[in-house]
Amino acid sequence: MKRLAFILGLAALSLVSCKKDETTVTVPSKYGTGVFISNEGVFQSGAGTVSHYKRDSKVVQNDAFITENGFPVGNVLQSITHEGEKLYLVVNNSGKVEVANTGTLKSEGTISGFNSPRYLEVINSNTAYVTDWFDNNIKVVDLNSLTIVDSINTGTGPENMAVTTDGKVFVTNTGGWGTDSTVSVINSNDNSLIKTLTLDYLPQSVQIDKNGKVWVLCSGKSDWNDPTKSTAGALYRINPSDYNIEDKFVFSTNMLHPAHLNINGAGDKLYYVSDRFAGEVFAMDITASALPSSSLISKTFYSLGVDPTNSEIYGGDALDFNQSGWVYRYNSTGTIIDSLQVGIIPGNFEFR
Amino acid sequence: MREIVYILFVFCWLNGLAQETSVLPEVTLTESKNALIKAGHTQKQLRDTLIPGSFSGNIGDIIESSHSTHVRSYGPGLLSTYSSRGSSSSQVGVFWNDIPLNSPGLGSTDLSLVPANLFGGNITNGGNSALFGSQVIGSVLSIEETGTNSNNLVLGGALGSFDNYSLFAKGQFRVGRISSFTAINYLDGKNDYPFEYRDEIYYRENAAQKSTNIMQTFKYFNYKGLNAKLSFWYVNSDRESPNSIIVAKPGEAKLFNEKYRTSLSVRQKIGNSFIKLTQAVLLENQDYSDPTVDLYSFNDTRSSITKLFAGHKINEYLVVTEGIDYIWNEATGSSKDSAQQNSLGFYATAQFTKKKIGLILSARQEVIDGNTMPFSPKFSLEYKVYPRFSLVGNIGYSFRYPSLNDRYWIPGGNPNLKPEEGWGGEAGVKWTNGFIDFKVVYFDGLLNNYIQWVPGQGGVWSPQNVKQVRSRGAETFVKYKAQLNVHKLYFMLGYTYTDATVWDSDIKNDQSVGKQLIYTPMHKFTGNLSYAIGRFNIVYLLIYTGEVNANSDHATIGYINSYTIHNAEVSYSFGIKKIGIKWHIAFKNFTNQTYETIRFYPMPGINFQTGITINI
Repeated sequence: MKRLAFILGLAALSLVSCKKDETTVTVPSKYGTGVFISNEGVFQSGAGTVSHYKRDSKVVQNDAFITENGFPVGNVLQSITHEGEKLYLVVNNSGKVEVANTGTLKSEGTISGFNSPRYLEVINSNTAYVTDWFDNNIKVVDLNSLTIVDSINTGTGPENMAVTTDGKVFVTNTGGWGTDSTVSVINSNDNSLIKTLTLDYLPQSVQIDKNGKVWVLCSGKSDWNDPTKSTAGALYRINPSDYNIEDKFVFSTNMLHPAHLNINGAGDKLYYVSDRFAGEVFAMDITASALPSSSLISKTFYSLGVDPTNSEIYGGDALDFNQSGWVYRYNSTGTIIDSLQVGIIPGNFEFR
Repeated sequence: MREIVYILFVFCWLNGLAQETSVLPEVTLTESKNALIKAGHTQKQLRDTLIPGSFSGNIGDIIESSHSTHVRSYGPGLLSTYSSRGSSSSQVGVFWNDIPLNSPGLGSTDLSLVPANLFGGNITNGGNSALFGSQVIGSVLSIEETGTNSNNLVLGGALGSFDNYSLFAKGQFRVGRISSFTAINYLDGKNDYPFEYRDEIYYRENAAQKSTNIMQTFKYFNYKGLNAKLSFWYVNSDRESPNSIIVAKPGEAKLFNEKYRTSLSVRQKIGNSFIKLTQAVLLENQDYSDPTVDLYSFNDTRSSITKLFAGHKINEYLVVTEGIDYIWNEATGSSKDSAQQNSLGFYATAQFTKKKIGLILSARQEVIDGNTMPFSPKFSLEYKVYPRFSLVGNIGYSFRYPSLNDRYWIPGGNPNLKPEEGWGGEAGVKWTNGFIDFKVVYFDGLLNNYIQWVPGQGGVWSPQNVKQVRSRGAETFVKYKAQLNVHKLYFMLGYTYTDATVWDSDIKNDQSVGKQLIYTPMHKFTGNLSYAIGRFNIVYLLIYTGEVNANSDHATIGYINSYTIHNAEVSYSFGIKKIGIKWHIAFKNFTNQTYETIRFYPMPGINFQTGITINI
């Protein structure tokens, strides 16, 4: 029996989805600490999927949600957020947030009533904010009843959020079908809009560093008819107390549109890709006086994540957007560690 | 049982006597390009028999039901395209009276907007740019209005499941040298059919459709060798566009199409030659709206098509034809500025038939917007080895010039795209013993510069020439048709094996290499059995579609299961004085098979249709 188990174990190990350097195995497993990868799936006729990566065993479990629940999570899995034992899966085109148990991935309910939800931010044990891209607002969700209880108007196409220690929520407004250049600041204590900051075109992502400063990455505007009229992106550092812009770094070209601002666990190094959907990875100290001139990782990625526990960098490659994508892992200095085959269009990473 | 065997034997014997011949028919002078692709091919008629439920169906239903050809559909009344030999919907040519119908913007034809009860035609698989120019890589579908040669008026109406009903009228009369054919067809349906998802029953929402087709044709016959035909075809379609079931919210999207198509052809016969001039104008407007996401878009196209075609019967063995096509296309839309395209094509064919051998040599050179397209020759051969047994084969070079959307879509349109192009051919046999027709062909083709929309710099999706695709397989077709007194029997089996794989790719780490193309079933089987006795006609249809994958790397989650659909129809014909009346009732998918042809777009379960046709 032991021999059989050994052979079966070897057979399982042969199901390698790792491409480089180290072996990564695709076998079923339960979900504890690790990395949840949200794979968007093909728009309309595809299903979003969840891949789970265990740091210690380097095992990838693909199609984790459908495996545990018997039904697909929905169409276009935009992002995943966890808080304690709850996992919130934001399903954009299905207009819902699926709630699951973090350890088992068993579905525990659905929050519906969104138009185009993008990201969820847990405010406290009772409340979460969800950006609703088409509705130009934030939906306030009661996490106990799993219902929408309020909404807060924002700019056009609200996307990412970051929460300061005193409860201010900075929301990037990416412009929806058009353009916007604002960041909405919301008081999460009373769900009121405090201020609207005007920055550069298409504020896309936002992070808060170890000093409590808010960093906003604006992608810049794309002019499809006349690309020469496109605008360059810019990176802002904002003091959340008085909303003063403490620093602004303008990108050198208007042909690329930086995106996916991340920060390491120590809160002292920023990461971003030079271009939405297919950009090289750049790293920048929060004390730097200029944008980095060369990339940390020269490969281009559709998505980017930085593991707060060890600063490892995760880059998602969607290939032709109609087949299983790959996630490439690098250490904090940009050296490749390995690669994982995941689901279709790996779009976001949630580290637990 | 003995009686049935006896009847079959007599059918076979009678038919066998009637149809045996040892030579190919003499070449004839024809004004239709479609007639030039008979030798060396396995051309199939669209309407060999009754198709259950086709009364209010579309031409896509006919293709799938009468041939083992795969049709992709989002549901009844929704976008429907066909695929042959692994081709995409923009790699097949659809022609109405030799006029190309594929939208210059989108590059394909929505078959759901071509009503089955107004059109007939035929389908010939395989590439044929040599005759038809760009796009004809996988197949060519030629349709024409189904008139008769005598004065008549046909009225019809049908009711069906899911609040569907349809009405049509078509009439024809002839006075002297002029005939007129008028047809109108109206379809209306809610299509709120039930489907099962996650062990619960849901009802399709936002899937209603209304469409109107109006057609008018005038023909002028043979005055000193002069013939003329003026046709007009108007289409108005107002459809809701449902979300996929996984989206889990009804959606409010709507799609409105309006098409004006007119064609005038004049043919003059001079001795053993003819010259034919055709001028067509096509106008198409498409509006899409989705208020839930504040999206409103339009896509308008205009086309002017001029064709000059001449033929000469050199002798009893040889016919030579040549032609010039000039096509002007313009497309405007919310996602593109006005974009135009001018194409000029020259082609020539030589048909040679002598006793057992039939040959067709054709070639075409096309210039589009000043760019010289791939030279497209084609050679076809048919050799009658025995009176009942023929060898058929052809080889040709075909291409597809990218659509205006491919080139000028904002953002991402790529004006530098190269045409998809490659060799393709087939070889097979035809056999008949007089009562059974059997055809089998092996086909093989390699398509280079395969176009796929991929994300590029700046996150903009853009079409690129990134792949090479090889498509090979086999098509078999068996048909039996016989009549004895009041008994009529028709039996057809068709099977297509398609191995259409990505042969090479410029995309790094592309896992689709070596895998079957998405939405391309490897196995497709169609069976049709029809029996008529006296006034009754019973038809049974079976369609099997093998599994397909919606993801190019065949991810486990992307499979669509194989399915078998069973349809049946019973009709009863009778007359009151000189008025012929036919009543029918059809049951489609009567085993209530759950299935999809596009992932997460459920097709209806068991449904029925009943209607009446009055022939005056």
